[in-house]
Amino acid sequence: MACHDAQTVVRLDRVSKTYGSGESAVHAVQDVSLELAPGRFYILMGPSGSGKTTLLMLMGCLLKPTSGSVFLFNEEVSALGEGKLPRVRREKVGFIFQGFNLFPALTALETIEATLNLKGLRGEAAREKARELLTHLRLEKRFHHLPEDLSGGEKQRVAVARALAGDPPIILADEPTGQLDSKSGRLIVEVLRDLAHNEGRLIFMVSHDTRILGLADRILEIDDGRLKDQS
Amino acid sequence: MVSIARKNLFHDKIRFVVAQAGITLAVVLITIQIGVYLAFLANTSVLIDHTEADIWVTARGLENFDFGRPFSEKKLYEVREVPGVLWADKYMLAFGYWKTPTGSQEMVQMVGFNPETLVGAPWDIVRGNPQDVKYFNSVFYDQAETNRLGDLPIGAETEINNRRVRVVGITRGARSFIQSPYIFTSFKNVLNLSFINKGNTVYVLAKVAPGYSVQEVKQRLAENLKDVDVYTTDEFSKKTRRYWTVNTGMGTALLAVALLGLVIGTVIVGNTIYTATTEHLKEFGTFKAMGASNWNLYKIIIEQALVNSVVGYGMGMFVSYWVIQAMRKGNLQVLLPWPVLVGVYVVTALMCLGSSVLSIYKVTKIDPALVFKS
Repeated sequence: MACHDAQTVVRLDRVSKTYGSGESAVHAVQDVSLELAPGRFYILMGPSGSGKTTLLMLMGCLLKPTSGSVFLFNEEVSALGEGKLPRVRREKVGFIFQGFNLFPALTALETIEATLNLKGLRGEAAREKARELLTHLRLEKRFHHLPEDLSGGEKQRVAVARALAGDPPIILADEPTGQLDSKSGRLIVEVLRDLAHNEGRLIFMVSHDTRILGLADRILEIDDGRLKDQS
Repeated sequence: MVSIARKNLFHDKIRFVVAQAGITLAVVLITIQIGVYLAFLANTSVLIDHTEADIWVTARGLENFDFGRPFSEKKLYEVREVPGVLWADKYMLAFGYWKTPTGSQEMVQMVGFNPETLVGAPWDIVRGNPQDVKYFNSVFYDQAETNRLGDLPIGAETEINNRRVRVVGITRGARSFIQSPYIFTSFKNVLNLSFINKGNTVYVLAKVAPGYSVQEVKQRLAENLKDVDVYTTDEFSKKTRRYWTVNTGMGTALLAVALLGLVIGTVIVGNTIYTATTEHLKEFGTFKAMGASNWNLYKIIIEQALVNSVVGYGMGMFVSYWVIQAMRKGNLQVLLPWPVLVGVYVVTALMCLGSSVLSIYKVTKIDPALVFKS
């Protein structure tokens, strides 16, 4: 099945995800249909337990829907076998997490280099690209710092650089400002918005923070697993 | 290329040291125990393995070399008459008491050979001529036994079973493992010095003539000789080794300690690698989310295990070297041919890899949702 719009990067077609079964079943996402375009910055709002993260995981090929279909660039990824999904994630998706999830033993430069290695870039080319990404995120003086020596904002910028390693067209961010002060948080969101507007990537961010809503191109809201309002 | 495995391993230095201590302990225990076991095995059959005979004729029902019993030396002539026997000779073994320079008594095993044919004579001579044992009560002793027998020079005199003997030579590499040093002398001298009756021998050694198979001649001897057993040299060597390792449980005990080392190492390494993995589950999960396959993650864990094994093996060998030196000063033998050293590394690597199985299982089961929890 092809995407309706040639400009659509991500399409969800009546997607539902249910955990468990019977009386204990939890309907995390219910009948969600959605089309997301490149070069745009989306923010998904919603209370805790509303299904935000599940939706993010469905889009990032980390979960398979109970029903419905997920398309990335016209490819029905929800129909792919488990063995093929790592390739899709490597090539098309970058993730940013609230808790940074940086290897404590790796410096900023090594973190990016290791990610590039994973995506097939090796040797000096990987090291040069890692330097370039960190410099782009104004971390040129933190190349050789371990996570324990970085501030929260710096750690999240390393995580953003890691998400950009391998040049994925889709960036999925799960409350990336959740552990940052307002200034650092706003800086990260601005970086993400610029990645959408200047580099043409699709940025999809889950957030609770209402102060940054003004930076989004489109705000989505989810409650009880259903997309309520799309502005 | 960035090695996440090595970075992880060396980042937490205390954990790394604990893992290395476990591996080193395991390597030392395994190496030393195998070395002692091999030396033990080699010593149990050292005299059998160093004779040029193809066939051994022994008293009926003999369990091992050291407990040889006398039988009539007429058997020697019967052996010589069997087709396919090139030559045959008597060979004697008897216990006795050696008087040390301090006046104490040490139990020894007298080995009597024919000084004219030198069949069964000592093979590695430090000083002296083995043919000199033809002189009355002349003996050779092994240089490794000087702590127990005394550092007697050529020409020195002492006593065996209260009869005067004279040292005419010193050997090397002929140590008995049953704590009774070998004393080499002539067949006739053993009869003089022991309580074995004249007209008896303890063994008859035979060489198979060219063109005959050892098994064929052994079979003929077994059919023609009564009241004795016939073995090929290899069979008698194995029988003796089996007796001391299996029947007495000595070999099993040595190997059990080696096995214990393996278990200790596996538990310690397994625990440290597993803890290191569980503490980094989120980071592993992150890699998985970014497109790493399970195999990419296995490689990290396997590399950690192999780096652990290489460093631990190196340290273990270093410690083992000094332990072995100390043991040798204490007159304990350790035999470690290079294939054993290679084998110990293979065991170490397998131990470390085996220890990683739980970690690999854990990584396989990582829930992708884990990476989204703060």
